Amino acid sequence: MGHFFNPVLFVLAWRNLWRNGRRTLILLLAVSFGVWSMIVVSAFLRGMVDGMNQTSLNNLPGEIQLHQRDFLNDQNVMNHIPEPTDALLQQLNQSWITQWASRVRSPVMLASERVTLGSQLIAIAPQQEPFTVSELELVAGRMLKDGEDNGIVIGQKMATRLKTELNKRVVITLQDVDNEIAESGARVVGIYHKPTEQEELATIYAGKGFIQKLLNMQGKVTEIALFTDANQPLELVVSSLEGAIDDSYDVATWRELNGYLAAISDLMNSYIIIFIVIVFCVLGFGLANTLLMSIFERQQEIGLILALGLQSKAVILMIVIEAVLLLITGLIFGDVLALLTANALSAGVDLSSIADGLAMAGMDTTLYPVIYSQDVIAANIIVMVLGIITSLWPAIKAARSNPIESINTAA
Amino acid sequence: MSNIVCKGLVKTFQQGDQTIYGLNHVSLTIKQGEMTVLSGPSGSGKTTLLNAIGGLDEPDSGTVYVGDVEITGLTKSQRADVRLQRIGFVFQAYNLIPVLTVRENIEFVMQLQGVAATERQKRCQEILAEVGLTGLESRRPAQLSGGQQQRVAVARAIVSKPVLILADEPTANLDSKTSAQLLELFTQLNRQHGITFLIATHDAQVFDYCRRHIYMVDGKIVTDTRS
Repeated sequence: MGHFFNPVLFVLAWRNLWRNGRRTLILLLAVSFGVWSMIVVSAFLRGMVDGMNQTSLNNLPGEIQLHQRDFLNDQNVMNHIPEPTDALLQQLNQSWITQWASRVRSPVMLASERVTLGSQLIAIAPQQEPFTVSELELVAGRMLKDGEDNGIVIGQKMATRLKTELNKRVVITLQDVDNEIAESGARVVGIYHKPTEQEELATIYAGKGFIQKLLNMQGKVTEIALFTDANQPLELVVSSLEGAIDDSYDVATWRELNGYLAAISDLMNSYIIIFIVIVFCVLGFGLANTLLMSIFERQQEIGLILALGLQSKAVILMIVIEAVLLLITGLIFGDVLALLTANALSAGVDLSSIADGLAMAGMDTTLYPVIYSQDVIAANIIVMVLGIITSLWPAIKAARSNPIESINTAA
Repeated sequence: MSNIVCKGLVKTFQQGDQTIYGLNHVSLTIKQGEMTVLSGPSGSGKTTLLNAIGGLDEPDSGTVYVGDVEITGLTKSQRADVRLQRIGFVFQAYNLIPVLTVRENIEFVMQLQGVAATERQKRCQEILAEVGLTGLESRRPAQLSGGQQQRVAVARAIVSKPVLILADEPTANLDSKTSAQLLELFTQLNRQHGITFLIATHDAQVFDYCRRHIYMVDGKIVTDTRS
């Protein structure tokens, strides 16, 4: 059975493919366009989700956060942790952690002369977290100078609701670590803008040292937030951090902290696979039809090679090789076209005409295509594997034909 | 000795309620090196017998031996292997693979047999000279005349050194002059290589080239004469 795998099958498959060059070219274009659309649409979907992720992470902010075990259930400063020292500090200073910051996060009441509103206060040391500072789009005033700054930075909508403005004083009221009310006057030193009103109302920023003193919690914080190197799996970072802390801590990734965003991200992964499979189904019909037509046209020839002693398995292999050669060529063209398209659109696609809707969803008005190698690999593997499976039907049909009946078809 | 031995071959076909005998208890022995013609009217069973001997079709009962191999007891895959190693075919038409050149068509069976490239080229060159096709090796079948195409088919059948060549109406699409040239070639190859030829035909011209003539009617051998 040494003639099952034979180089002559490749020669036959390739030449048979080009017997009807126009038909093959049309199918080639269909495969290329299909793969192109799979990759480009995936790239835009990824770009959209990445944009949402980024916005959300900048609001959290941080890919991973450490808290006192009960903090996420009861966001109260009584559930505090100490500023990182020893083993934890050593872990936070590892090369795969690009930035980290410790903060105090607490519910707060803000009162102006006329209005009182609730919000969430995040007390930061600006020098420790440039990512938070750089993400804030200030429309008036300045950012906090340092952790000891006793001013506050509030959202534009918050300022409007409080009927206050830059440099005016408001009273902030919080609960301290002893469960006592703590309040202080604070000057509005900056006003920031966010895409949605909800975001502008959600958070006010204050200096960490100032708030620690106010809440009687020097040397204590409520969270440690960190960003990691993109190449480092979050799970690995989490396990290395867990090795440096005791049971009183809780380590959570952004997926756990923002379930909605995680669900969107998972949904998008599924959607991309479903989209790829749907596009393939359209391609698959074309592929099967083309191979069936091609086999029907050379029924005599298939009968002849079977009569000469080619094994049925080798005939199946020959037809599958035809499909594989066609798919490989189509995939190469499709991949290259998709990369060129993504490159050409790397400056982003302006969607400002629907900016309000996008802003509500936490997205930027410019959509940037982001090609994930996993999407390119998935598109290529799915097309190749399903293509081979699709080609098996015409291949088996050809292999099962009776040599003499086939030869006599047109004799 | 690679004799061809058929014993009690029966092959029936259903035509409505009727059972038609393609082969009706056919027994015969063809000795190695014999050049035999099978003739008879259409539907007499010539091609059915050829297909049974070549392992292209399975008889309902009976046995066929090609040399020491009982071809009727083999699986489809094993029969394909016997055809590849021991039997050469020349059909009336569609003998050649259109996408391969003359050389590639001739080398096709040898490639499947696993013959080394240098040996294939040597044997191909020799056979091209023998069938008078030197210089045409790079042409595709569509660029050849009907006679030339049949010669390429003969070259392909012979080059793999089979013990038996089965030819089904090889001259049907040829004019009488080209037919005579092809039959001369058959005779020459039969003498030089001692290959057994079994030719199914309506063409009376073929009878003159074969020493044995089997005449079939309704699936039975009616006469079997040697000259």
